[in-house]
Amino acid sequence: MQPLIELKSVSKTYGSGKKRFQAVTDINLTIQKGESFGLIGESGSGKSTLAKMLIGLEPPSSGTIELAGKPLWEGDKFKPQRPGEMQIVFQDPQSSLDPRMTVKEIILEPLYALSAGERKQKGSMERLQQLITRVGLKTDQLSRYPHEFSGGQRQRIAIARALITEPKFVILDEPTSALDVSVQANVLNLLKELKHEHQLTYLFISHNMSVIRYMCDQTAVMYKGEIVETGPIEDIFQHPRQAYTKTLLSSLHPLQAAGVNQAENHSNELSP
Amino acid sequence: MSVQTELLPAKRTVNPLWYKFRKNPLTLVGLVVLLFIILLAIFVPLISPYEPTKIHVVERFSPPSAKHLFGTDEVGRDIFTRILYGARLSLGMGVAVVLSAGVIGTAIGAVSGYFGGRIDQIIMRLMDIVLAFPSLVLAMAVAATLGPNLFNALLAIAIIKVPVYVRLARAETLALRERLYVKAAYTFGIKPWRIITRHIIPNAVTPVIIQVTLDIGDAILMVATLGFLGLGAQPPTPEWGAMISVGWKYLLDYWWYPTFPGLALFLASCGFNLIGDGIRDILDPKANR
Repeated sequence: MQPLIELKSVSKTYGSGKKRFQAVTDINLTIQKGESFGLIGESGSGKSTLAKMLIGLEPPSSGTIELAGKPLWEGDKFKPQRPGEMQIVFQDPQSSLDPRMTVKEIILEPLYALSAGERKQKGSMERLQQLITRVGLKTDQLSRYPHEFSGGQRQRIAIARALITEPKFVILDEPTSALDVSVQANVLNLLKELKHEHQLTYLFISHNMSVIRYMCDQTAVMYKGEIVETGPIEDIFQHPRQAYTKTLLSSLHPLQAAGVNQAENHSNELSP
Repeated sequence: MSVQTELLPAKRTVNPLWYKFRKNPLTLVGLVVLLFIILLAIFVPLISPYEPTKIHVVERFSPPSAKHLFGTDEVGRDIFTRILYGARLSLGMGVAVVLSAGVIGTAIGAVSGYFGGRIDQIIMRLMDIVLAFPSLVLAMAVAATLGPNLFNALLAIAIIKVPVYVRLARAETLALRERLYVKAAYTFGIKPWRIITRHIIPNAVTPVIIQVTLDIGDAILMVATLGFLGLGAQPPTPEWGAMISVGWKYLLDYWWYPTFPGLALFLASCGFNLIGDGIRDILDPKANR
Protein backbone atom coordinates (compact mmCIF):
# COMPACT_ATOMS: atom_id res chain seq x y z
CA MET A 1 0.00 0.00 0.00
CA GLN A 2 1.15 3.48 -0.78
CA PRO A 3 2.09 5.36 2.36
CA LEU A 4 0.22 8.60 3.07
CA ILE A 5 3.35 10.46 4.07
CA GLU A 6 6.81 9.62 2.89
CA LEU A 7 10.00 11.46 3.76
CA LYS A 8 13.10 10.55 1.80
CA SER A 9 16.47 11.64 3.21
CA VAL A 10 15.12 14.97 4.40
CA SER A 11 17.61 17.41 5.91
CA LYS A 12 17.29 20.94 7.15
CA THR A 13 20.12 23.36 7.89
CA TYR A 14 19.74 26.87 9.16
CA GLY A 15 22.23 29.64 8.48
CA SER A 16 25.59 29.22 6.83
CA GLY A 17 29.30 29.41 7.63
CA LYS A 18 30.06 29.46 11.31
CA LYS A 19 26.41 29.90 12.25
CA ARG A 20 25.42 26.83 10.27
CA PHE A 21 23.13 24.61 12.25
CA GLN A 22 21.91 21.21 11.17
CA ALA A 23 18.42 20.90 12.64
CA VAL A 24 17.37 17.72 10.87
CA THR A 25 19.66 15.15 9.28
CA ASP A 26 18.74 12.58 6.66
CA ILE A 27 15.28 11.60 7.83
CA ASN A 28 13.53 8.66 6.20
CA LEU A 29 10.03 8.11 7.41
CA THR A 30 6.79 6.60 6.18
CA ILE A 31 3.38 7.05 7.73
CA GLN A 32 0.64 4.70 6.59
CA LYS A 33 -2.95 5.80 6.18
CA GLY A 34 -4.92 5.47 9.42
CA GLU A 35 -1.84 5.31 11.57
CA SER A 36 -1.16 7.33 14.62
CA PHE A 37 2.52 8.00 14.32
CA GLY A 38 4.39 9.24 17.36
CA LEU A 39 7.50 11.36 17.21
CA ILE A 40 9.41 11.45 20.48
CA GLY A 41 12.43 13.49 21.36
CA GLU A 42 13.72 16.09 23.74
CA SER A 43 13.48 19.83 23.05
CA GLY A 44 15.73 20.83 20.17
CA SER A 45 15.83 17.36 18.68
CA GLY A 46 14.24 18.61 15.44
CA LYS A 47 10.68 17.37 15.93
CA SER A 48 9.07 20.73 15.36
CA THR A 49 11.33 21.50 12.40
CA LEU A 50 10.05 18.30 10.84
CA ALA A 51 6.46 19.41 11.46
CA LYS A 52 7.18 22.82 9.92
CA MET A 53 8.54 21.19 6.78
CA LEU A 54 5.45 19.00 6.52
CA ILE A 55 2.97 21.85 6.93
CA GLY A 56 4.76 24.34 4.69
CA LEU A 57 6.38 26.75 7.12
CA GLU A 58 9.99 25.78 6.34
CA PRO A 59 11.35 24.32 3.11
CA PRO A 60 13.63 21.29 3.48
CA SER A 61 17.28 21.88 2.53
CA SER A 62 17.40 18.54 0.75
CA GLY A 63 15.33 15.41 0.29
CA THR A 64 11.68 15.01 -0.68
CA ILE A 65 8.46 15.00 1.28
CA GLU A 66 5.51 13.31 -0.37
CA LEU A 67 1.84 13.27 0.48
CA ALA A 68 0.06 10.33 -1.19
CA GLY A 69 2.88 10.03 -3.69
CA LYS A 70 2.92 13.72 -4.67
CA PRO A 71 5.83 15.93 -3.58
CA LEU A 72 4.81 18.76 -1.27
CA TRP A 73 7.74 21.03 -2.10
CA GLU A 74 8.97 22.27 -5.45
CA GLY A 75 12.25 23.86 -4.44
CA ASP A 76 11.36 26.53 -1.89
CA LYS A 77 7.71 26.66 -2.97
CA PHE A 78 5.11 24.75 -0.98
CA LYS A 79 2.74 23.11 -3.45
CA PRO A 80 0.12 20.98 -1.72
CA GLN A 81 -2.23 19.20 -4.11
CA ARG A 82 -5.39 20.24 -2.33
CA PRO A 83 -5.60 22.86 0.41
CA GLY A 84 -7.16 21.62 3.62
CA GLU A 85 -5.86 18.08 3.20
CA MET A 86 -3.34 18.54 6.00
CA GLN A 87 -3.91 20.49 9.19
CA ILE A 88 -1.87 21.22 12.27
CA VAL A 89 -2.74 21.75 15.91
CA PHE A 90 -0.07 23.83 17.58
CA GLN A 91 1.32 23.45 21.05
CA ASP A 92 0.28 26.81 22.42
CA PRO A 93 -3.45 27.53 22.11
CA GLN A 94 -2.88 31.01 23.59
CA SER A 95 -1.09 32.29 20.54
CA SER A 96 -2.47 30.11 17.76
CA LEU A 97 -5.93 31.72 17.79
CA ASP A 98 -6.40 35.23 16.38
CA PRO A 99 -7.45 37.41 19.36
CA ARG A 100 -9.60 39.67 17.16
CA MET A 101 -11.77 36.89 15.78
CA THR A 102 -14.76 35.14 17.26
CA VAL A 103 -14.67 31.39 17.76
CA LYS A 104 -16.97 30.97 14.76
CA GLU A 105 -14.66 33.02 12.53
CA ILE A 106 -11.62 31.15 13.81
CA ILE A 107 -13.07 27.74 13.09
CA LEU A 108 -14.32 28.71 9.62
CA GLU A 109 -11.08 30.47 8.63
CA PRO A 110 -9.28 27.46 7.04
CA LEU A 111 -12.19 27.12 4.60
CA TYR A 112 -11.09 30.33 2.88
CA ALA A 113 -8.31 28.36 1.26
CA LEU A 114 -10.93 26.20 -0.50
CA SER A 115 -13.20 26.91 -3.45
CA ALA A 116 -16.39 28.86 -2.76
CA GLY A 117 -18.58 25.83 -3.32
CA GLU A 118 -16.63 23.63 -0.97
CA ARG A 119 -16.55 26.41 1.57
CA LYS A 120 -20.31 26.71 1.56
CA GLN A 121 -20.79 23.01 1.90
CA LYS A 122 -18.25 22.44 4.68
CA GLY A 123 -18.98 25.68 6.49
CA SER A 124 -22.71 25.17 6.90
CA MET A 125 -24.14 26.27 10.22
CA GLU A 126 -25.29 22.74 10.86
CA ARG A 127 -21.82 21.30 10.42
CA LEU A 128 -20.29 24.06 12.50
CA GLN A 129 -22.65 23.39 15.38
CA GLN A 130 -22.09 19.67 15.12
CA LEU A 131 -18.33 20.15 15.22
CA ILE A 132 -18.29 22.56 18.12
CA THR A 133 -20.48 20.31 20.27
CA ARG A 134 -18.34 17.34 19.27
CA VAL A 135 -15.20 18.95 20.65
CA GLY A 136 -17.04 19.74 23.86
CA LEU A 137 -18.06 23.38 23.54
CA LYS A 138 -21.51 24.94 23.42
CA THR A 139 -23.01 26.47 20.30
CA ASP A 140 -23.70 29.76 22.09
CA GLN A 141 -19.95 30.11 22.67
CA LEU A 142 -19.39 30.58 18.94
CA SER A 143 -19.73 34.34 19.18
CA ARG A 144 -17.15 34.68 21.97
CA TYR A 145 -13.49 35.66 21.68
CA PRO A 146 -10.51 33.38 22.52
CA HIS A 147 -9.51 35.27 25.66
CA GLU A 148 -12.78 34.22 27.27
CA PHE A 149 -11.74 30.56 27.23
CA SER A 150 -9.41 28.39 29.27
CA GLY A 151 -6.35 26.71 27.76
CA GLY A 152 -8.12 23.39 27.32
CA GLN A 153 -11.14 24.99 25.69
CA ARG A 154 -8.89 26.93 23.34
CA GLN A 155 -7.16 23.75 22.29
CA ARG A 156 -10.59 22.29 21.56
CA ILE A 157 -11.30 25.29 19.36
CA ALA A 158 -7.98 24.70 17.58
CA ILE A 159 -8.94 21.04 17.06
CA ALA A 160 -12.34 22.01 15.63
CA ARG A 161 -10.55 24.45 13.32
CA ALA A 162 -8.22 21.71 12.11
CA LEU A 163 -11.14 19.38 11.34
CA ILE A 164 -13.39 21.84 9.48
CA THR A 165 -11.71 21.12 6.13
CA GLU A 166 -12.07 17.35 6.62
CA PRO A 167 -8.32 16.71 6.46
CA LYS A 168 -6.80 13.29 5.91
CA PHE A 169 -3.69 14.03 7.89
CA VAL A 170 -3.37 16.01 11.10
CA ILE A 171 -0.12 17.05 12.74
CA LEU A 172 -0.41 17.39 16.49
CA ASP A 173 2.59 19.39 17.69
CA GLU A 174 2.64 18.76 21.44
CA PRO A 175 -1.09 19.49 21.62
CA THR A 176 -1.38 18.92 25.35
CA SER A 177 1.95 20.01 26.81
CA ALA A 178 0.73 23.57 27.45
CA LEU A 179 -2.34 22.31 29.29
CA ASP A 180 -3.06 21.44 32.90
CA VAL A 181 -2.53 17.80 33.71
CA SER A 182 -6.21 17.44 34.59
CA VAL A 183 -7.25 18.67 31.14
CA GLN A 184 -4.62 16.73 29.20
CA ALA A 185 -6.33 13.36 29.47
CA ASN A 186 -9.65 14.77 28.26
CA VAL A 187 -8.10 16.37 25.20
CA LEU A 188 -6.14 13.21 24.41
CA ASN A 189 -9.28 11.11 24.61
CA LEU A 190 -11.10 13.55 22.37
CA LEU A 191 -8.29 13.30 19.82
CA LYS A 192 -8.39 9.54 19.98
CA GLU A 193 -12.14 9.41 19.43
CA LEU A 194 -12.00 11.92 16.59
CA LYS A 195 -9.36 9.84 14.85
CA HIS A 196 -11.72 6.88 14.69
CA GLU A 197 -14.75 8.92 13.72
CA HIS A 198 -13.01 10.74 10.85
CA GLN A 199 -10.52 8.03 9.79
CA LEU A 200 -7.66 10.44 10.40
CA THR A 201 -3.95 9.86 10.23
CA TYR A 202 -1.99 11.52 12.99
CA LEU A 203 1.57 12.63 13.38
CA PHE A 204 1.75 13.09 17.12
CA ILE A 205 4.76 15.03 18.34
CA SER A 206 5.62 14.96 22.00
CA HIS A 207 8.44 14.76 24.48
CA ASN A 208 6.16 12.90 26.83
CA MET A 209 6.71 9.15 26.53
CA SER A 210 3.52 8.14 28.30
CA VAL A 211 1.38 10.39 26.09
CA ILE A 212 2.94 8.87 22.98
CA ARG A 213 2.42 5.38 24.30
CA TYR A 214 -1.22 6.13 24.99
CA MET A 215 -1.91 7.77 21.64
CA CYS A 216 0.18 6.05 19.01
CA ASP A 217 0.70 2.71 17.30
CA GLN A 218 3.95 3.52 15.46
CA THR A 219 6.72 5.69 16.74
CA ALA A 220 10.08 7.19 15.91
CA VAL A 221 12.62 8.45 18.41
CA MET A 222 14.52 11.57 17.43
CA TYR A 223 17.82 12.67 18.89
CA LYS A 224 19.91 15.62 17.69
CA GLY A 225 18.09 15.84 14.39
CA GLU A 226 18.26 12.15 13.56
CA ILE A 227 15.84 9.30 13.93
CA VAL A 228 17.61 6.80 16.15
CA GLU A 229 14.90 4.20 16.36
CA THR A 230 11.57 3.50 14.74
CA GLY A 231 8.94 0.78 14.97
CA PRO A 232 5.66 -0.31 16.55
CA ILE A 233 5.08 1.43 19.85
CA GLU A 234 5.12 -1.61 22.12
CA ASP A 235 8.33 -2.94 20.55
CA ILE A 236 10.07 0.30 21.35
CA PHE A 237 8.75 0.41 24.86
CA GLN A 238 9.38 -3.24 25.65
CA HIS A 239 12.63 -3.83 23.78
CA PRO A 240 14.43 -0.54 23.16
CA ARG A 241 17.53 -1.21 21.08
CA GLN A 242 19.20 2.15 21.25
CA ALA A 243 20.91 3.55 24.30
CA TYR A 244 19.14 6.87 23.93
CA THR A 245 15.70 5.26 23.87
CA LYS A 246 16.59 3.38 27.03
CA THR A 247 17.57 6.62 28.72
CA LEU A 248 14.31 8.21 27.65
CA LEU A 249 12.33 5.27 28.95
CA SER A 250 14.14 5.17 32.25
CA SER A 251 13.24 8.82 32.78
CA LEU A 252 9.63 7.79 32.70
CA HIS A 253 8.40 7.95 36.24
CA PRO A 254 6.29 4.98 37.36
CA LEU A 255 3.60 7.34 38.62
CA GLN A 256 3.28 8.90 35.20
CA ALA A 257 2.78 5.52 33.65
CA ALA A 258 0.07 4.82 36.18
CA GLY A 259 -1.57 8.12 35.26
CA VAL A 260 -1.83 7.03 31.67
CA ASN A 261 -3.42 3.80 32.67
CA GLN A 262 -5.97 5.77 34.58
CA ALA A 263 -6.67 7.91 31.55
CA GLU A 264 -7.05 4.77 29.52
CA ASN A 265 -9.57 3.37 31.95
CA HIS A 266 -11.29 6.70 31.95
CA SER A 267 -11.69 6.60 28.18
CA ASN A 268 -13.04 3.08 28.39
CA GLU A 269 -15.69 4.25 30.76
CA LEU A 270 -16.63 7.10 28.46
CA SER A 271 -16.80 5.23 25.20
CA PRO A 272 -19.86 3.04 24.85
CA MET B 1 -16.67 37.05 57.93
CA SER B 2 -19.60 36.25 55.71
CA VAL B 3 -21.78 38.73 57.59
CA GLN B 4 -19.25 41.45 56.97
CA THR B 5 -19.06 40.83 53.28
CA GLU B 6 -22.81 41.02 53.05
CA LEU B 7 -22.73 44.39 54.73
CA LEU B 8 -20.39 45.83 52.15
CA PRO B 9 -22.12 48.23 49.78
CA ALA B 10 -23.03 46.86 46.39
CA LYS B 11 -20.24 47.21 43.90
CA ARG B 12 -20.64 50.19 41.67
CA THR B 13 -20.20 49.28 38.06
CA VAL B 14 -18.05 51.83 36.26
CA ASN B 15 -17.11 51.44 32.67
CA PRO B 16 -13.34 50.82 32.95
CA LEU B 17 -12.59 52.89 29.85
CA TRP B 18 -14.49 55.85 31.20
CA TYR B 19 -12.80 55.34 34.56
CA LYS B 20 -9.33 55.57 33.03
CA PHE B 21 -10.39 58.56 31.00
CA ARG B 22 -11.72 60.31 34.09
CA LYS B 23 -8.52 59.69 36.05
CA ASN B 24 -6.65 61.85 33.59
CA PRO B 25 -7.86 65.43 34.17
CA LEU B 26 -5.98 66.95 31.25
CA THR B 27 -7.64 64.58 28.82
CA LEU B 28 -10.97 65.59 30.24
CA VAL B 29 -10.11 69.27 29.72
CA GLY B 30 -9.23 68.53 26.11
CA LEU B 31 -12.45 66.62 25.62
CA VAL B 32 -14.59 69.41 27.11
CA VAL B 33 -12.88 72.12 25.04
CA LEU B 34 -13.28 70.16 21.84
CA LEU B 35 -16.87 69.20 22.50
CA PHE B 36 -17.58 72.85 23.17
CA ILE B 37 -16.02 73.92 19.87
CA ILE B 38 -17.71 71.12 17.94
CA LEU B 39 -21.14 71.89 19.37
CA LEU B 40 -20.75 75.58 18.61
CA ALA B 41 -19.58 74.78 15.08
CA ILE B 42 -22.57 72.51 14.48
CA PHE B 43 -25.15 74.96 15.83
CA VAL B 44 -23.56 78.19 14.58
CA PRO B 45 -26.45 79.02 12.19
CA LEU B 46 -28.80 78.96 15.19
CA ILE B 47 -26.45 80.89 17.49
CA SER B 48 -25.30 83.64 15.18
CA PRO B 49 -27.50 85.95 13.09
CA TYR B 50 -24.59 86.77 10.76
CA GLU B 51 -23.32 85.13 7.63
CA PRO B 52 -19.63 84.25 7.41
CA THR B 53 -18.92 85.92 4.07
CA LYS B 54 -21.48 88.74 3.92
CA ILE B 55 -19.77 92.13 3.73
CA HIS B 56 -21.09 94.93 5.91
CA VAL B 57 -18.64 97.77 5.49
CA VAL B 58 -20.41 100.21 7.84
CA GLU B 59 -19.51 98.06 10.84
CA ARG B 60 -15.88 97.42 9.91
CA PHE B 61 -13.40 97.02 12.77
CA SER B 62 -15.97 97.24 15.53
CA PRO B 63 -14.37 96.05 18.78
CA PRO B 64 -15.74 93.07 20.71
CA SER B 65 -19.18 93.88 22.10
CA ALA B 66 -22.46 92.18 22.87
CA LYS B 67 -23.44 92.63 19.24
CA HIS B 68 -20.18 91.28 17.83
CA LEU B 69 -18.68 88.98 20.43
CA PHE B 70 -15.19 88.92 18.90
CA GLY B 71 -15.55 92.15 16.93
CA THR B 72 -15.58 92.51 13.13
CA ASP B 73 -12.94 92.50 10.42
CA GLU B 74 -11.89 94.96 7.72
CA VAL B 75 -15.11 94.50 5.72
CA GLY B 76 -17.44 94.25 8.69
CA ARG B 77 -17.87 90.46 8.92
CA ASP B 78 -18.53 89.05 12.37
CA ILE B 79 -15.32 87.32 13.52
CA PHE B 80 -17.09 85.02 16.01
CA THR B 81 -19.29 83.67 13.24
CA ARG B 82 -16.36 83.27 10.86
CA ILE B 83 -14.32 81.42 13.49
CA LEU B 84 -17.10 78.90 14.04
CA TYR B 85 -17.61 78.30 10.32
CA GLY B 86 -13.84 78.02 10.17
CA ALA B 87 -13.98 75.40 12.91
CA ARG B 88 -16.13 73.20 10.68
CA LEU B 89 -13.50 73.48 8.01
CA SER B 90 -10.39 73.09 10.18
CA LEU B 91 -11.63 70.24 12.34
CA GLY B 92 -13.18 68.46 9.38
CA MET B 93 -10.04 68.79 7.31
CA GLY B 94 -7.73 67.82 10.17
CA VAL B 95 -9.70 64.63 10.77
CA ALA B 96 -10.11 63.85 7.07
CA VAL B 97 -6.43 64.33 6.27
CA VAL B 98 -5.16 62.20 9.12
CA LEU B 99 -7.74 59.46 8.60
CA SER B 100 -6.92 59.14 4.93
CA ALA B 101 -3.18 59.20 5.62
CA GLY B 102 -3.73 56.59 8.34
CA VAL B 103 -5.74 54.25 6.12
CA ILE B 104 -3.43 54.54 3.11
CA GLY B 105 -0.25 54.38 5.19
CA THR B 106 -1.41 51.33 7.14
CA ALA B 107 -2.32 49.47 3.97
CA ILE B 108 1.04 50.24 2.34
CA GLY B 109 2.96 49.42 5.52
CA ALA B 110 1.19 46.09 6.03
CA VAL B 111 1.84 45.02 2.44
CA SER B 112 5.44 46.15 2.65
CA GLY B 113 6.09 44.35 5.92
CA TYR B 114 4.27 41.17 4.98
CA PHE B 115 5.95 40.55 1.65
CA GLY B 116 9.34 41.98 2.56
CA GLY B 117 12.11 41.63 -0.01
CA ARG B 118 12.35 44.00 -2.92
CA ILE B 119 8.84 45.46 -2.63
CA ASP B 120 9.61 46.37 0.96
CA GLN B 121 12.94 47.95 0.01
CA ILE B 122 11.40 50.11 -2.70
CA ILE B 123 8.48 51.27 -0.57
CA MET B 124 10.62 52.07 2.44
CA ARG B 125 13.20 54.03 0.41
CA LEU B 126 10.38 56.07 -1.12
CA MET B 127 9.09 56.82 2.36
CA ASP B 128 12.61 57.78 3.48
CA ILE B 129 12.73 60.30 0.65
CA VAL B 130 9.49 61.89 1.85
CA LEU B 131 10.71 61.88 5.45
CA ALA B 132 14.06 63.42 4.48
CA PHE B 133 12.39 66.77 3.76
CA PRO B 134 11.21 69.05 6.55
CA SER B 135 7.50 68.29 6.55
CA LEU B 136 6.27 71.87 6.25
CA VAL B 137 8.62 72.68 3.37
CA LEU B 138 7.50 69.60 1.48
CA ALA B 139 3.82 70.36 2.11
CA MET B 140 4.37 73.90 0.84
CA ALA B 141 6.17 72.64 -2.24
CA VAL B 142 3.43 70.15 -3.06
CA ALA B 143 0.63 72.65 -2.45
CA ALA B 144 2.38 75.34 -4.48
CA THR B 145 3.05 72.96 -7.36
CA LEU B 146 -0.51 71.67 -7.50
CA GLY B 147 -2.00 75.15 -7.14
CA PRO B 148 -3.20 76.92 -4.03
CA ASN B 149 -6.58 75.64 -2.98
CA LEU B 150 -8.10 73.75 -0.10
CA PHE B 151 -8.11 70.31 -1.69
CA ASN B 152 -4.48 70.50 -2.75
CA ALA B 153 -3.48 71.61 0.73
CA LEU B 154 -5.30 68.57 2.05
CA LEU B 155 -3.49 66.33 -0.40
CA ALA B 156 -0.11 67.85 0.49
CA ILE B 157 -0.59 67.27 4.21
CA ALA B 158 -1.80 63.71 3.60
CA ILE B 159 1.33 62.99 1.54
CA ILE B 160 3.69 64.13 4.27
CA LYS B 161 1.73 62.18 6.92
CA VAL B 162 1.62 58.85 5.07
CA PRO B 163 5.24 57.70 5.78
CA VAL B 164 4.67 57.84 9.53
CA TYR B 165 1.85 55.33 9.20
CA VAL B 166 3.73 53.18 6.72
CA ARG B 167 6.60 52.79 9.18
CA LEU B 168 4.29 52.18 12.10
CA ALA B 169 2.22 49.56 10.31
CA ARG B 170 5.29 47.90 8.82
CA ALA B 171 6.98 47.51 12.19
CA GLU B 172 3.78 46.10 13.63
CA THR B 173 3.40 43.71 10.68
CA LEU B 174 6.95 42.40 11.02
CA ALA B 175 6.15 41.44 14.62
CA LEU B 176 2.74 39.99 13.78
CA ARG B 177 4.10 37.89 10.92
CA GLU B 178 5.94 35.79 13.49
CA ARG B 179 2.85 35.26 15.63
CA LEU B 180 1.52 31.75 15.67
CA TYR B 181 -2.00 32.66 14.57
CA VAL B 182 -0.66 34.35 11.45
CA LYS B 183 1.55 31.35 10.72
CA ALA B 184 -1.45 29.12 11.34
CA ALA B 185 -3.45 31.06 8.75
CA TYR B 186 -0.57 30.56 6.36
CA THR B 187 -0.54 26.81 6.93
CA PHE B 188 -4.25 26.64 6.04
CA GLY B 189 -3.29 27.92 2.61
CA ILE B 190 -4.98 31.31 3.02
CA LYS B 191 -4.02 33.88 0.39
CA PRO B 192 -1.73 36.76 1.46
CA TRP B 193 -4.43 39.34 0.72
CA ARG B 194 -6.76 37.76 3.26
CA ILE B 195 -4.00 37.25 5.82
CA ILE B 196 -3.15 40.95 5.61
CA THR B 197 -6.71 42.23 5.78
CA ARG B 198 -8.12 39.73 8.28
CA HIS B 199 -5.20 38.90 10.56
CA ILE B 200 -2.49 41.56 10.28
CA ILE B 201 -4.37 44.85 10.02
CA PRO B 202 -6.98 44.20 12.74
CA ASN B 203 -4.16 43.35 15.14
CA ALA B 204 -1.93 46.25 14.08
CA VAL B 205 -4.58 48.92 14.40
CA THR B 206 -4.08 50.02 18.03
CA PRO B 207 -0.84 52.00 17.56
CA VAL B 208 -2.32 53.49 14.39
CA ILE B 209 -5.34 54.77 16.29
CA ILE B 210 -3.06 56.35 18.88
CA GLN B 211 -0.99 58.02 16.19
CA VAL B 212 -4.13 59.29 14.42
CA THR B 213 -5.46 61.04 17.51
CA LEU B 214 -2.05 62.56 18.19
CA ASP B 215 -1.71 63.74 14.60
CA ILE B 216 -5.06 65.49 14.19
CA GLY B 217 -3.99 68.52 16.23
CA ASP B 218 -0.83 68.76 14.19
CA ALA B 219 -2.78 68.49 10.94
CA ILE B 220 -5.12 71.30 11.98
CA LEU B 221 -2.09 73.50 12.61
CA MET B 222 -0.68 72.50 9.25
CA VAL B 223 -3.90 73.38 7.42
CA ALA B 224 -3.84 76.78 9.10
CA THR B 225 -0.18 77.25 8.25
CA LEU B 226 -0.78 76.61 4.57
CA GLY B 227 -3.79 78.91 4.75
CA PHE B 228 -1.66 81.59 6.41
CA LEU B 229 0.91 81.31 3.64
CA GLY B 230 -1.81 81.62 1.02
CA LEU B 231 -1.39 78.03 -0.16
CA GLY B 232 -4.57 76.67 1.37
CA ALA B 233 -8.08 78.02 1.57
CA GLN B 234 -8.53 81.23 -0.41
CA PRO B 235 -10.43 84.29 0.82
CA PRO B 236 -13.25 84.81 1.50
CA THR B 237 -13.38 81.26 2.88
CA PRO B 238 -13.50 81.57 6.68
CA GLU B 239 -10.40 79.54 7.38
CA TRP B 240 -8.39 80.24 10.55
CA GLY B 241 -4.98 80.44 8.93
CA ALA B 242 -6.23 82.69 6.14
CA MET B 243 -7.97 84.92 8.69
CA ILE B 244 -4.81 85.30 10.73
CA SER B 245 -2.85 85.96 7.57
CA VAL B 246 -5.00 88.97 6.71
CA GLY B 247 -5.57 90.01 10.30
CA TRP B 248 -2.03 90.17 11.64
CA LYS B 249 -1.38 93.38 9.69
CA TYR B 250 -4.06 95.02 11.84
CA LEU B 251 -2.80 93.61 15.13
CA LEU B 252 -1.63 96.90 16.63
CA ASP B 253 -4.81 98.87 15.84
CA TYR B 254 -7.47 96.18 15.97
CA TRP B 255 -6.02 93.52 18.25
CA TRP B 256 -9.11 91.30 18.16
CA TYR B 257 -8.91 90.55 14.46
CA PRO B 258 -5.96 88.09 14.46
CA THR B 259 -6.14 87.23 18.15
CA PHE B 260 -9.39 85.30 18.25
CA PRO B 261 -8.74 83.03 15.24
CA GLY B 262 -5.32 82.34 16.74
CA LEU B 263 -6.88 81.46 20.05
CA ALA B 264 -9.36 79.12 18.35
CA LEU B 265 -6.50 77.40 16.55
CA PHE B 266 -4.58 77.03 19.79
CA LEU B 267 -7.56 75.57 21.65
CA ALA B 268 -8.45 73.09 18.92
CA SER B 269 -4.97 71.71 18.39
CA CYS B 270 -4.36 71.60 22.13
CA GLY B 271 -7.65 69.79 22.66
CA PHE B 272 -6.78 67.11 20.12
CA ASN B 273 -3.30 66.66 21.54
CA LEU B 274 -4.60 66.22 25.09
CA ILE B 275 -7.18 63.69 23.93
CA GLY B 276 -4.52 61.91 21.90
CA ASP B 277 -2.30 61.61 24.98
CA GLY B 278 -5.23 60.29 26.97
CA ILE B 279 -6.15 57.70 24.37
CA ARG B 280 -2.54 56.59 24.16
CA ASP B 281 -2.43 56.10 27.93
CA ILE B 282 -5.60 54.03 27.81
CA LEU B 283 -4.75 51.84 24.83
CA ASP B 284 -1.03 51.52 25.49
CA PRO B 285 -0.33 51.74 29.22
CA LYS B 286 3.31 50.76 28.73
CA ALA B 287 4.20 53.85 26.68
CA ASN B 288 6.30 56.47 28.43
CA ARG B 289 4.47 59.63 29.23
